[in-house]
Amino acid sequence: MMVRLQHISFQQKLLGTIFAVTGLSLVIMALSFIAYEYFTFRHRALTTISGLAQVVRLNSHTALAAGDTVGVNNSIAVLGGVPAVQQVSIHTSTGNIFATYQRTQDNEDVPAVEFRSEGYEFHSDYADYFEPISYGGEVVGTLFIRYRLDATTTRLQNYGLIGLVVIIAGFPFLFLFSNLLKKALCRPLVELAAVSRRVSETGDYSVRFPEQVKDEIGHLVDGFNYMLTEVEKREMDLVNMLENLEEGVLSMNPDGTIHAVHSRQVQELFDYDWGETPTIQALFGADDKQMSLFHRWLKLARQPRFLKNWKSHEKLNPFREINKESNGKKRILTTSWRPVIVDGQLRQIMLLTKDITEQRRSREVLAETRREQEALLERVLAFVGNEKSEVQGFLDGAYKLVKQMTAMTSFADLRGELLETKRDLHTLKGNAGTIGFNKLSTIAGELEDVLEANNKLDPTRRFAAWQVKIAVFQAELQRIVRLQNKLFPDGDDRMYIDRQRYDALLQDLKTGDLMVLDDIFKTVRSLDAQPFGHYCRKYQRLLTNYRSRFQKTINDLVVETPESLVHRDIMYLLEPSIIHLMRNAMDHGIESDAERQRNGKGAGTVRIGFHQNEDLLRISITDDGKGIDGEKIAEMAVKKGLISAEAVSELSSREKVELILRPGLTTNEKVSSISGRGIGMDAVTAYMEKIGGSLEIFTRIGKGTRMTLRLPLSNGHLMLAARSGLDDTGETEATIGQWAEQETVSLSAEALRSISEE
Amino acid sequence: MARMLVVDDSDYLAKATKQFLETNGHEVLALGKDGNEGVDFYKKYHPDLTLLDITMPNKDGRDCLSEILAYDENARVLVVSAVRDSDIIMECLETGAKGYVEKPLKFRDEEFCQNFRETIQSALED
Repeated sequence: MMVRLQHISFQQKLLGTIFAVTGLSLVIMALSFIAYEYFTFRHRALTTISGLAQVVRLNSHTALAAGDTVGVNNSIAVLGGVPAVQQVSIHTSTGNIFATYQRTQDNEDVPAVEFRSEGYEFHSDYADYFEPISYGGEVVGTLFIRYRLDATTTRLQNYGLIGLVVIIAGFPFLFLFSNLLKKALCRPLVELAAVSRRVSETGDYSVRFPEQVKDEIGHLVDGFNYMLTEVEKREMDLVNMLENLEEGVLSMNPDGTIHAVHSRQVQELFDYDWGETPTIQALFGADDKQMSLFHRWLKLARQPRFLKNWKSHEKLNPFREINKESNGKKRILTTSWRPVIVDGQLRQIMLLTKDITEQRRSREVLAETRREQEALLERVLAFVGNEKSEVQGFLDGAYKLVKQMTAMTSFADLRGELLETKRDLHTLKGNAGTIGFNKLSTIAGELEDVLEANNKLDPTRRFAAWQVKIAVFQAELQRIVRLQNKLFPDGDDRMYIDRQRYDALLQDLKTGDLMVLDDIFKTVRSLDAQPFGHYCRKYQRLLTNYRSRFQKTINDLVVETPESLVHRDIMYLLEPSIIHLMRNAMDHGIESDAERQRNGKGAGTVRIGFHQNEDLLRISITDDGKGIDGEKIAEMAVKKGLISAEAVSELSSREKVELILRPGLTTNEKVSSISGRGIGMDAVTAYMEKIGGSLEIFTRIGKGTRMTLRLPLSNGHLMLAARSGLDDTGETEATIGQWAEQETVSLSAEALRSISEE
Repeated sequence: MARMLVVDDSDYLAKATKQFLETNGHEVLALGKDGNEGVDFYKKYHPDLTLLDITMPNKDGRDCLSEILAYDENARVLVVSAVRDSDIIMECLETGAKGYVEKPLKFRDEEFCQNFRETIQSALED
């Protein structure tokens, strides 16, 4: 009952309350009146009776004393005028009735009087009253009055009736009144309720409650409005956030239907007509297997056990990654599912969808770039240690084959050349593998496969496959040739690199940051070291030329240490000096054939040697010619005014020889066409000093001369000089080549400039 | 600290799993090599938790799981498998496995280990 009462409307409650309170108060009022009547009527009746008794007593006591019956009867008859008096009698002191009056009309069933000399007794509808009558101080009799109480009862009944009538008659007024009150009180509340219901049903937080008087309800309304403003603001923030979210956010009911779409991105991701009842299947365009998996997943997802460990179960999600074409774009979508659990029950599942196409693509590009670089390095590796002419021969052959294969595509019938081409391809595949062009080898193998499948495929498809593969083959070939040109810019014949460093570079490429291609070349080239003998071929050519031009009999150049690896940059750095010294040795050192014959010497020999230890590098050029005559040099120096005669006399024989290194001294009177063109030994000295090295001369007259270029390796200047002086880009690098072990160089700007200008 | 049974046909994986479990304070009662041993050992030891490989000779993990559950319906079994067999895992979960652990078991990967521990914990509390 109480529970049901709680659910009736506030208006009815209010009405009921007013009714109940008012009605109750009326009833209580009536009841209290009645109670008052009831409890006071005895006292009042007694007062009335004793008043009456007084009258009778005063009127009758003389008569009673005199025994005058008529007088007594007259005096009690007076009471006959009081309707409530039913019976009056006067008894003698002995108890006998002396006189009596009884209302005659109601003589039926009069209860007998129980005589008492004094006092009163109330019965249900009458009261008996006894009072002694005295005369002259002596009790002469007793007065008895029986008084009817009917009137009082009737009055009480009347009171009750009146109360009832008032209550009944008052109800319409009560109703009207309470209705008016109710309206005044309830209207704001009803409005409040209506508005809040609208808010909760439509989720529209923009509505506001109407302004109210500033009573408690008014404050409540203000509070509500403020709350709504806040909620609306937050809702807007949330909506904005969701709208701009890159992820598609949906919520889904546990039965697999879409509950709501939360972010705008969803529309972008799924090209879908949202007018229909959307389902996951339609959204993802999933196949039946995925859907059946999905429904099983959903079934499990509803189990509390599954919910508890959702994180790991999510991996089972059949839509972890899905390919979808929507809005004309091919996309890769990933999804992530979050349970919305209320009271341990799965209410909804939030679904976050992300477009990872770009991410995937860039990852692929990155991987592709890495693969490219690795392939490049692999190609580089193929050149290492191979004679350039060998590689060149191979490449020429490959080009020829490409032409041949391209030609084949233009003839419908391949059979004629087929066998030969197949054989050539096979050979090429093997050779490419041996040299180290692995990719080319693979492509050649694929081309072979196409030829193998010649009879199985239909002609159109065969030609298409054939052409594509040839194009790939050709592209790879071109890459190799471009690489060759980059790696051998100076027509070197063979390249050697430090394998350990090369492997480190490869590892870097696989795992580290990506490198710009040019940087890769630079790095590879910085690894480039070649056997000394390899560089010396150039000097051999120099010697051969000299020999034929000047008809001097000179043996082939003797390379003392052909296997020592020398960095390319070092050779660049020292090359001008070496050439100069070579010319000197051939021109000035080795005597003419006639002179040698006279001295019993055979053909002349020039030797070149390379020596390197941790901190010093030496290149020596030795001839077995006439040697340098210190005295002659000194004489000439004095003659040219380079030194005074006194100073010369103090010099040792070695120091006299070293005068040749001073500027402006030329020993040979006859200037040959290859040496003595303005740069003599002094130029070599100056150059060597500039790069931090020196030139050393050791000579014995008649036996020969050894000129040694010395270059301290620990000297940071060296590498810097090597780079700044020789880098064809002309830029000055402050880093030292790897072989100089990262030694940092501090050089003044002045020094840098002077080196760069060399 | 729970008593566990590891069933995997790869001796190496079983031992590695055992080592992992023991480092995490559990006791490994036995290593089963196939489904038959899995059922036998289960009946013998009544472990708190059984780690069950799916692809095994003689009797595969699915049959083993069913038999264990037929013998003891409150048995706690974790399925160890590659997620590409999502159908099989789904089937095992429906049959009554408490969860699954994704293969490969990357015991050197801290994140994987954390997940593994959580899965074990939640299976034990289930």
